[in-house]
Amino acid sequence: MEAMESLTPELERLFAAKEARRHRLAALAFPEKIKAIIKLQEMVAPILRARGKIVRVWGEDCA
Amino acid sequence: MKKTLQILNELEQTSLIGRFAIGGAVGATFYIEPFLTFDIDIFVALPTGKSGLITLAPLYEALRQRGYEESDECVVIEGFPVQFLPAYNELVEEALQEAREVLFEDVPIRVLRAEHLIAIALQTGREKDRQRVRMFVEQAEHDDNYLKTLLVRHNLSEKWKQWRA
Repeated sequence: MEAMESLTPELERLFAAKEARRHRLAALAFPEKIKAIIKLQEMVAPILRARGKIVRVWGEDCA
Repeated sequence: MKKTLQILNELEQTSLIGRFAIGGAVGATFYIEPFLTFDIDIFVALPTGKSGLITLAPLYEALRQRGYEESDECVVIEGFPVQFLPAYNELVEEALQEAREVLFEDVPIRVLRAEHLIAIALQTGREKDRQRVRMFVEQAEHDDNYLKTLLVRHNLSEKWKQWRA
């Protein structure tokens, strides 16, 4: 119980930082957000492809 | 994506499509944090065909002639899979009419208003729509009065209450 209590302020700080980061991301310019989506696609594509899914990362075949 | 949007504008200028606006996950991303998606939903007013029916066939054919191939339910335009969604009900027609005009870099585009994206998510009603509505409420600047009127007009107030409970 003591351990949980001692963790609480730290967890609160982490959750607040996470929330602040989400708001910062929401405030990005639209083209920057599109770049972020492409990054997410690049990160997740190998996992999805390994599961047999056909995935197209945006702009991949236009380089 | 800029080239993709330029092509879409050309399609409107040559009347292959009517007024169009970005919706779906990419439209939502205009207002909230970016999240994973693989296609771009374009809500579009389409000219009526000879049969009197709305059809995507002439649009797909024109895009094919430009070298853009279909992939599942999308057409890949300059590397970006675009799904064209004809305005399928009154809410979407209204959303399209009232879409915001913005710039993507220097390309003029339209994005559905946040309030309409919320209403469409409510109407669609999937679990991912519910999650998206929550993100809109937490992160997106929106006009509460406009949203309330919109929800009343399209009989979505009760669902809004349920989802916000």
